[in-house]
Order: sequence, then structure tokens, then C-alpha cells
Amino acid sequence: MVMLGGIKKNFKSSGQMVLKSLLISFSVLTLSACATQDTSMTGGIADPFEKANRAVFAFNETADAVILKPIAKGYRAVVPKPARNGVRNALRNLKSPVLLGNELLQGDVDGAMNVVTRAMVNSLIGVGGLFDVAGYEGIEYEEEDFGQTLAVWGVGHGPYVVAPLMGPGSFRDYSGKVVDTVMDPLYWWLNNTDQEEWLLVRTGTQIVSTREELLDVLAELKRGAIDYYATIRSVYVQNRAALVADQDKNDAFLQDIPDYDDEY
Amino acid sequence: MIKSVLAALAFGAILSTSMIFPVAVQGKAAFAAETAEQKAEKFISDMANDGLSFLGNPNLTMAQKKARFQKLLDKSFDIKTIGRFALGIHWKNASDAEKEEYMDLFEKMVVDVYAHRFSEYNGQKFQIDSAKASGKRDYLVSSRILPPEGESGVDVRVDWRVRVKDGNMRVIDIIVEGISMSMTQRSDFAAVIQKGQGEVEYLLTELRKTN
Repeated sequence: MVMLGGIKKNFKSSGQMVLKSLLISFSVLTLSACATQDTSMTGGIADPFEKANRAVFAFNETADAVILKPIAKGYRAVVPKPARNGVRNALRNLKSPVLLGNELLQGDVDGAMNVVTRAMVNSLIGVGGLFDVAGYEGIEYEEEDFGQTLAVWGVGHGPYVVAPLMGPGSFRDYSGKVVDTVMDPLYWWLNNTDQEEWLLVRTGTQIVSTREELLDVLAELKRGAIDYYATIRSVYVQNRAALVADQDKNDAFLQDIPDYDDEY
Repeated sequence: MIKSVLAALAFGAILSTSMIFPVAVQGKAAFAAETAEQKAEKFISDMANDGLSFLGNPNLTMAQKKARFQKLLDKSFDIKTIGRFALGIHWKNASDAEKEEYMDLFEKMVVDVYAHRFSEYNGQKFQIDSAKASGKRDYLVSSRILPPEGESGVDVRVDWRVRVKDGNMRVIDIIVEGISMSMTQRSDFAAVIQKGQGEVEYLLTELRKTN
């Protein structure tokens, strides 16, 4: 009862926080709406802070090379692949409430049903989410977040932002991250039961797991790029657009490719 | 409250069972003449099998792989169309001499980058999913790279944009999980040229360094 009271009390303040973060994100979005810029040269996103972004990008690259990449490589070397997949699956399973919330906010009923099915099947049959049984049966994981929800509602990216230690993003997508955090019941439950340290454990594991998955892809991108910053910016924008478009990701934005022999 | 939660769970359980065991309904392939979509599928399938037969072969040196990849590129890719697209708006401003050198350097870069990229291939399976018309002269062939037999992992979706010209099919773009290789290349080049005050020559200088 005491605990319940505590939760209730905290929910009151949590409501205020949600409201606050929503207000912040919307003021940020209004700001971003003003910043229109020709984006044809910057991979389809406005980059008015390019100079600062490039500086932060360089800093992040160094931090990555010194700290994160070695940890991710160690993780790959020490933990066998099936176990790493288990970690990834469990982390995805924990995201279910946020995924569900965003699917519903996007009006994607089928997507919401899939999230519920996946969470139930994987939690029960898949041993607490370690095995992606549902995915194996064809109900695949779909990445959803509030940044995508905003995109579905018609909100544009706003300026491109490279945040220190957090990497590429946009005004819209970083605002979305704030909303996702407060949308997560696990966040409130752990906070209300004095177990905040588990949030750090989860975030840390998430970062290492994701970095490990990207080890080869990023190395290849870097190897093939003259301007790695511009390459990552382009990949970021395309990846986000593909996530927003869900299933039909590969043909939603096909641009006309003029033939070599065409007139111009 | 608890009742409605239980009801939702029960509904979810029914739903999940019906979704986990979908009944595969597949029409028999008609014995009609090969459609353009089927031709596009076969083209990609043949090209990929050809490529994977040597790119993932550990007995070949990188130089041998590159030589064979160069041949595959000449045969199955419209490298000139890809190159023109990658140069974006600067194509118009480039002189004929610049265009010629650019094409040469671009092709060398593509061979280098992609021979390396695909040599990571190691026992994964390649599967064609579908093909459909895209625009007036292109087809989009969807495929997936599946983890090796008995291994867990995620599928990687790869779509091939195929152009039909003079009766021949050629790849003009590869789209991996929604990310277009041509588009990414164009963003890279655009940034380089912008750094060089809009001069294509600056990009050529950079490309010369990588070759």
C-alpha cells in the first residue's frame, strides 16, 4: 500500500514531466520549422550547424575509437553469437510498451497487434524474451519511436544535430527520444522502486550491443567514404525514412536516376 | 481493470496462434512466356550467384577477386549511369575531360570498395523475393541475405534497381535496408565538391588519392 501510494504520488509529478517534455519538444519543433534551408547538398536534411556538428562528430569518432569500439570488439570476442542475439532480443522485448504506444499513436493497428503478440510469445515461449520465437514465425521486430511517430504526423526533421557521445540525430528525433523515455513504464517503475541503476545497465548494454552489430557496417562505410561525416548524415536520413515507411521501405523514396545517355 | 487486461491477453493469444501458423497459399506458376519481372529476377539471381562464387572464395587473393569483379561490373552494372547520378548537379558543369577521368576513377573506386565489401560474405544464403516494375524503364528486384544454415541472426534486405536498355538489363542501384548506395555516394561526393568550392577537380584530386 505504501508502495502504491508512492507510485501514485510519483505519477502526479510524472504527468507534469511528460507535459514539460512535450512542451519542450513542440517548441523545438516550431523552431525547426522556421529553419528551412536548401537540403539538396546535405543529403536531404538541413544542416545549419554543420561546423559545430563536424567538430562534435570528430570528438565522437575519437571517443568511439578509444572507448566504445574496443568494448564492442571485446564483447564480440568474449560473448558467442547466440548469446549476443539473446541480449538483443531481450532488450527489444523490454521496449515493447514504448513500441506499442508509438504504433498506436501512429494509428498502426496491425503494428500494435504485432507488438503485443511478439511480447507475449517471446516472453512466455521465448524464455523472457531471450529467443525471438515470434520473429522466427514471421512476425518480425519493427523499430518504432516517437521521432517516427512525429514523422507520421507530418513533422519534418528540423536541423541535423550530432550530439556529444550520442551521435547523429535531428531536432525531431532527439525530441522523440525524450518522449520515449517518459513513455516507458519500466522507467517509472524502476525510478519508483529505487532501482534506477538498472536503467543505466540497460542503456549501457543497449549501446554496446548496437555498436557490436554495427562494427562491420560502419567500418565498411568509413572505408568507402571520402567524407565520412557526409556519408553518415546521408545514411542517417535514409535509415530514418526507411523506418518511418515500415514495410515498403525500399521503394518509397526512389528518386529518378537519369540515364547516362539522357539529355540534361 | 484486471478483467479487461485478461480479455486483451486472451484476444492476443488467439491472435498470436492464428498469426504464428499462417497457411501458405501459393498459386502455381503459369506456363506462359517469361515476364519482364521474371527476367529481372533471373538476371539478379544469375549475377549474384556469379559474384558470390568468387567474392567469398577464401582461395582467391584480393587482386584476383577485383579482376573478376571488374568483369562482372562491366557485364551487369550500368556504371556510367551510376557515376553520373553520383556526381549529381555537378555533372552538368564538368568538362568532357573531367567526366572522362571521373568515370575512370569512379569505376576503380567502386571495384575497390565493393570487392572488399562483398568478400565478407561467408556462407550466407541469397534469396530472391520478388520483382516489380518501377517507373518507365526500371525494375526493382527484392532479395534477402539470410544467415548461414543453423545460425541465428537477422535477414538483410537488399533491393536491386535494374534498368532495361536496348534489351539488356543492368543494375543501377543497390538498396540495403532502405539505404541507397548511389544516394549515399552522391552525398559523399557533394560534400567533397562543396569543400572544394564547387570544383569537380577537387573531387578528382581526392579520388586520385584513393586509387
